[in-house]
Order: sequence, then C-alpha cells, then structure tokens
Amino acid sequence: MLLIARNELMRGFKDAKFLLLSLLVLCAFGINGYVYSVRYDTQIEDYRRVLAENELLLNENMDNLQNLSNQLIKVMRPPSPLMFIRDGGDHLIPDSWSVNAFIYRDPVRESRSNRFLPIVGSLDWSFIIGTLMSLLAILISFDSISGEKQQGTLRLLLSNPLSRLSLFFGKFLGLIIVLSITMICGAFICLIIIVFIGHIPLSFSMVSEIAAVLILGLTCVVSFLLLSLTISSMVHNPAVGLVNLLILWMILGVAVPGITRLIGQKTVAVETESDIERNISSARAAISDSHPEEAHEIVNDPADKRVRFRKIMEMELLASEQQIRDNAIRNKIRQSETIDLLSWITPMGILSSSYEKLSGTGLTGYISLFENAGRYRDQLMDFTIERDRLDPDSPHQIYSFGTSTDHGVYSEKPVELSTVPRPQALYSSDTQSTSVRSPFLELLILLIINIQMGFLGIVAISRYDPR
Amino acid sequence: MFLHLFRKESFDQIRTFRFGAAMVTCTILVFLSTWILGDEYKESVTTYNRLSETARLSVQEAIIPSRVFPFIYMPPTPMSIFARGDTAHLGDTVQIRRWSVPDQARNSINDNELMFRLPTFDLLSIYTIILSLFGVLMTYDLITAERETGSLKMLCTFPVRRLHILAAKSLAALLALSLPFCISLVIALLELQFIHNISFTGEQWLSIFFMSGIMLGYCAVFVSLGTLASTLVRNSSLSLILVIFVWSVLTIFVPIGGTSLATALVDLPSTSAFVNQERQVMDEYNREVDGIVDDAGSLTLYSARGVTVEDPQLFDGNPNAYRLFINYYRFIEPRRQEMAEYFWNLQQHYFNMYLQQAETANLISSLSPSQHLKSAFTALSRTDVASHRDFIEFCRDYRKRMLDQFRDKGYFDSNLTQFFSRRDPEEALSEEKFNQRVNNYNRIQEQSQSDNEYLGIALFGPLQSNEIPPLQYRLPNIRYGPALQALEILYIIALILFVASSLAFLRYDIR
Repeated sequence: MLLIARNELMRGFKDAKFLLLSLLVLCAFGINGYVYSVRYDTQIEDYRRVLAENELLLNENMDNLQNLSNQLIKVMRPPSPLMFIRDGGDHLIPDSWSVNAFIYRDPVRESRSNRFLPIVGSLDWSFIIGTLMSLLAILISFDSISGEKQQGTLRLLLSNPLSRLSLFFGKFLGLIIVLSITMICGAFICLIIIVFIGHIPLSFSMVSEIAAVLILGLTCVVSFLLLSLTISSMVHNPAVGLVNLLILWMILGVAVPGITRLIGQKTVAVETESDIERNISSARAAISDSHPEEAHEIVNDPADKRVRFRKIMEMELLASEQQIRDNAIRNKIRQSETIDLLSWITPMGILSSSYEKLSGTGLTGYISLFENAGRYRDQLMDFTIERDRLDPDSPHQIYSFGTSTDHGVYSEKPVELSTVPRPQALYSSDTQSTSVRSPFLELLILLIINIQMGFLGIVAISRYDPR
Repeated sequence: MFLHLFRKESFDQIRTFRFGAAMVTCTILVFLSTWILGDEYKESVTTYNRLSETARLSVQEAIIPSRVFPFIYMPPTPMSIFARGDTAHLGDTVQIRRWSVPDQARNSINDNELMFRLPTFDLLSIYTIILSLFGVLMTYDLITAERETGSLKMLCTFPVRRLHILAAKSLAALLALSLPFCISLVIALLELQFIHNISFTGEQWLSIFFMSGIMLGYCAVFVSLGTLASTLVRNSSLSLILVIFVWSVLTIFVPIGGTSLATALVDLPSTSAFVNQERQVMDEYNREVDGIVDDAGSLTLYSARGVTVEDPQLFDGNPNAYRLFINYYRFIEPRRQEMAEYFWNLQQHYFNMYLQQAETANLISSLSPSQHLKSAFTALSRTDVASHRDFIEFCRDYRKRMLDQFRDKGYFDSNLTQFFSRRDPEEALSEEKFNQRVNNYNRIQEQSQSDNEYLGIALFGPLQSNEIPPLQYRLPNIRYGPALQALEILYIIALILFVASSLAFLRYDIR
C-alpha cells in the first residue's frame, strides 16, 4: 500500500494539471494575505477613530453625570485578526451600536465599506479551501481508477498480490499527502505575508485556531477526494466520472447555498422597519394611556412629586421600546442562523460556518456585538446609579427621554473619567470566550461524511470490473 | 456537405451523456429557482402596494406641511428573477426630509441586512456557471477524441475543407448547448406566466430577447474556448485539464479575486475629516439656535416629541407658542436647508471614491466573460448600480421640487404661518381667543373617541395631497449601452478564439 502511495505521490507532483491548479491555489493564498492585511489596517484605523470620538465625548461631559449618562457612546466591534479565514460579508453588516445608560439602538457600519461593490464571495480561506481546493481534489483524482482502467494498467496492478482495499487506500494516502502539502504551503505563504508585510497581530494563542482551521479544511477537501475516488471506481470512462463530479461540486458549491438562503428566508419571518416603528408607537401609546395625568406633565421643580410618576412612565416606555427593538434583531439573527444551519448539508457549508465561528466575523461577530451592546448599557446604568447614590443632594429620579434636553432629575455632579466603564473592556476578555466554542461538532460531522464516503468507495472498488 | 456534417455532429452531441446531464441540471435548477423567486416577487409586490398606500395616507395625516416627510419606494420588477443585481441590497426606500439631501436608500421590502452578505441566486448565476461549464465539457474533445479513435483521418479524406469541419463541429456544439438554455428559459417563462401570474411588459420582453442573444454569445465564447483547447493539444485528458483550469479561473477565480483585489488596491478615505467638519458645523449651528431663538429649550423639546403648534397640550402650557414657532422656522428653515447642501457636497468626495473602487473591481473582473454577461443582464433588468443611482437622483430631484413648491406657496417667507399651522394667525395670536381654544379642544376630545394623533385630523381635517409632488417613482428608460457592449465583446472574443482554433487545426497533425 505504501508503494502505491509513493507512486501516486510522485505522479501527482509531476502532473501538469496538479501543478497548474496548485499554482492557482498558492496565488490565491498570496492575494488573500495581501488583501486582508490592507483591510485590517483600514479597519483598525476606523476602530481607533471611533474610540477617540468616544473619549472626546466622555471628556466633554465628565462634569455632569446626567449629561454623561445620556451621551450615546459607540460600542464597536474591533476587526478580527483572523478575518482572512472567513470574511463573513462584514462590509455590509453593522459593526457598532449607539449606547447610553438607558437604551442601545441604531446599529450602523462605522468602518468604511463600499456598498457599491458587487456581492460575489470573498477570497478568504473558506473559499480557497472549500471551493478551489475541493475542485483541485476532484481534478487530481477523478481518473485514479477509471483512468488506469482505460489505459489498461489496472489489470496489471490487480494481478499483483495486492488487495483492492490497499489499492484504494494507497491512492488515497498519496493524494491526501499531495493535497495537504499544497494546503500547508499556501497557508504558510499567506501567514508570512500577513505577519511580515501586514500588521495583523497574530499571537501564539491563535496557532491553535489556525491549526483547527487547517484540520477542518483538510477534512472537507478529503471528503471531496473520497467522493472523487468513489465515483472513479464506479464508472468506466473517466470523462463521464468527471462530468458527474463537476455537476455534484457545482450543485454543492453554488446551487445549495442559494436555495438554502431562499428557503431560510421564507421559514422565519422578519419585521420591516416600518413594522417596528409602528409597534413601538402603539406600545408607547398604550403605556402612556395607562399612566395618570401627572406623569405627562413637564415639571421643572425637582421636588415636585409628579416627577416620580414621570420617571416610572418614561422608564417603562424605554423598556418596552428596547424590548421591541431587541426582538426584531433577534428575529433577524434567528433567520440568519436558520440559513446557516441549512447550509450544513454540504461540506463547504459546514466549513464556512465553522470558520465564521473560529474567526468571530459575520453572524458570530454581529451576535457578540449585540450582546455586548446590552452589557455595556447595563454597565453604564449601574455606574450611573452608583454615582448618583453617592451624591447626597440628588433627588435620585433617574430617567431619560431619549436624547432631548428633558433629562431625569438626578445627580449633576462631575465624575472621575477613569472610573467610567469603556466598551473596549468588553472585548479584551471576550476574545477568549468566542474561541472557547470549539468546532468539535463540525469536525465530527465532516469525519462521519468522510467515513461514509470511504465505505462507499470500498464497496465500489470491490465490485469494480477491471477488464 | 457542410449541412450534412453539421446535422451529423448535432445528433452526435445530443446523444452524449453530458448533454443529458446539462439538460437535466439546467431545467431542474431553473424550475426550482423560478418557483421560489416568483413567490418572492409576488410578496414584494404586495408589500410595495401596502407601503405606497401607507405613504399616501401619511401625507394626509401630517395635517400641516412642516410635518410632511414622504416616503418614496422603488417598485419591484419581475426582471429581478433573471438578475437580482445590486438594487436588492442598496435599498428601495428613501424618506424625503427638508434638512438632508438623499444619498442612500434603506430597505423596506427585504429587510434583513444580515442576508445581503450571502450570494445571490437568480437565473443569471445559474446560467453563468452551468452553461460555461457544459460549454467547455462539450467541446474539449471535439478534435482530440476523433483523433484518438482514428476517425479524424477518415473525416479529412472527404472533400470538405478543414475549416468547414471545425465550423460544423463547433456550431453543432453551440446548438446542443443552447438547447438546455432555451428549453429552461421557456419553462421559466411559462411557469411565471401560468403558475405565478406574472406578466411582462413589451419593454421587458425586448430585454428578455436581448438577454437570450447575449447568453448565446456567452455560450459561444466557451464553445470556442473548448474548441481551441482541443486543437492545440494532442490528447483528450490534457485538453480537459487545460479547459477546466481556464474555466475555473475565468468563472470562479477572476470575479471573486478581482473584487477582493480592488478593495486592497483602491483606498477608501477615512471619514474622520468629514465627521470633524460635521461636528464643527453642528456645534456652530446649535450655538446660533440658542442665541437667536428665545426659549429654544422647550421648543426643541416639543419638536423632538413631534408635537406641533396644533397640539392643544402645547397651547395649554404656553400661549406664546405660536410666536415662538414663527421665530423658530424663520431662522431654522433656510439655515438647515443650507447645511443640508453643504454636507451633501462634503459627502460627494467619499461617494466618488466608493464608485471608483467599484469601477476598479468591475474592470479587473471584466477579464472574465461572466462579468460582461452580468453587467448586461443587470442593466437590462434595471437592477444595477446605475439604476439605483437613478432612483436616488429622482429622490433628490423630488426633494428639490417639493421645496420649490413650498417656496412658491410662500411657506418660507410671506406665508410662513401656513407652513407650521392650519390655524388662522389672527385667532392664534390673540390672547382672548386662548381660553376659547382650550375649551374647544376639551369638547372635541370628549366627543371623538380617537387618540391624540388623530385628534388633529378631527380638528383640522387631512392635508391635501396636492401639497407635494406626486409620490410615484417612474422607472427610467432601459440603458442598452452595457448590453450592446457585452454583445459585441462576447461575439468578438468567440470569433477570435474560433479563428485561432481554425488556424491551429489547419496545422494539426491528424495521424
């Protein structure tokens, strides 16, 4: 078996088609490294700009707790250092929320992005490994068995004291080594470019993530390799086999993602902006009506007892608005998660999904940003309550009417700037938690697919007619 | 002789496995996607009609002109089933505000922004991949297979020119490739007509016809590519590898790589300069507002809460409200409109950079025939970036027309009071009539069961809809430029490749 493997290995490297295609793959890795280094630099610049704007805002308002707690601080997701692994379509997804002590809203894209760019995939590792390398796997192995049969060498091979099983696995082993060498070389080129020419800070803790990425990628590519070997040992003409394989590859890579998107969109309903606004205004009207007259009056004297009524009503209004907005966002997230789950039908889909979780971009990044926005709002509210409690002159009626000049009636004392919580703090500890969710499930599923393919291949080659 | 050859070759092509595979795959995928996309289109039309009606009503419910912020919606087109294009994610809704010039659209009909990052799935994307793949698969062994079986020698003994042989084979392959396309297109059109009841206008039928012609050109490019590969090498497997390699580069790698590369090559400027300038101007404006308009604090409170001078609550609290609003609008209105123009001019710089980056991406991708196909299809379907910009331009123009109409009615100078109030100025400014108004309001509130919002209509009646220009967006004429260009380029490339392959075939060693 090892002899077969070595033979296959040598054959693979001398093959024109392999050289051409692996050159393409290596070029792709190189371009990927360059493109994402540049992208990371611009996104970090924007991130720093937003942090600086936040600092300016806090600085201007540190002399008055009331003003401070009403300022809208931007909670922005820092660019992920591993974005070259999976782009996640980030340039179209919001990456920041406006948050104050009372509410968090208005997700927008702060980092510069071009909405006029055509939406084609991106040249990230999930494309290179999932699509290009699986094509490579198909093309170097579609004629492994049937090509040998056509040339007549299969009979010679099988006349040796060699079991069919070892033939199959010999070829498999040789080809898997060829593919993994290509993948590792490509990954190496990309990482060299990123670390030495770009400025992405790859730390040692990311080595394990990159290793996981490579292992998952190899498993996905191997599944196509096994598929190709299986089909090769089922047909008698390599050209027919190739046509079949290309159709399968095309369906798995192009048709299935498109169809799952359309199906997913239909199964989960999402509210439109106008629906949300309508829901908010009717909820506000209902709450407004349920409160007494005194709550609606704008009173300037803080000692007036009507202020207390107003506070209760305004906080209830805010809470209901926040809940409606949050539910709308959760529905959108759920719709996207459904589509993501449906994409697990194909190995490429499993790969993309796991890459997104490992790199923290795309949907994963959006979900963590949304949760962090909520957390930061709670932190700001806790901070406001505590500072207000320390102020003996304050009437302690903390409420807000959005961003207008009618603030609540509470402490207006200055605060110590360094004690104000910052949104960045949420992310320095968060990066640890996102990578805790390791892709074992995805790996398991891919391995199961591989084992099934392997069985199919064994069955196919045992029944193969070599004449 | 040529026709005889052509007929023979056609029958041969149709009887191959790959032709059957092409037919089956094409029809199934097109049928499925047309079904789903047709459904989606019907839903979006329903949503569009509902939103348009709501927009019309909301103009009336505004009661006074200063509270009119009309929505303009871009109607969905059934051509988006053919080519979804860019308009889906660029937005279809613009709200016209006096104090900002429209430059971006939002999405009302398809509302999950997390969807936009996923690749589109329309007939264009299906045809781009399938027809090109089968195009090369049908022709990669046009000559080499005959040579390997030995029948090429026989063929060349006939009194037929080599050029005719090659032409007959190529055209037969093209015919065989166009059959899946035509049949699946007919199925799609029948499905849309009879199952979904979607009909096309005359202009759209012309576009579909045009698209078919361009699609044929696209198929011709790949057929000629396969033919060329077949005449350059001596055995089938080498030809196959060459052809698959070129196909994957052209159809898969170049569009994606081109876009990614463009983002790295063309820098987008940082918006920090714009943000700073914006903040400076707003700070200055806020200072002026504080200085000039008295009691501006409570006024901004009221206007922020959407309370108008019509709101009796305001009158109960402040008999000077009417005078305050006169001062407010006399100062605010021209100032904010001026600021709107200023900010828009600042933004143009960034806007142009974005377009430039997109142009670069398209330029790099135009090495691939699929890019030409895409730009032709999206231009003919009116779903490309240019159509989106037409829409935004219309909205900008609409805003201008609305402001001109207001100006003509004197809302910004002589007739200012009519702009923010339906009351008679004499009655509103009179101190004696103040109590009368309060009593009147209390009486109507007890009589009508409607809530505060519609009390305005009960008091003053709806706003006339002729206060603003009509809200209907009319689609501009189809720009045939990109389609004609694509047609030319694709056929010329196909011709060049064919000429190259015939030159190669003339020198081909048939032994």
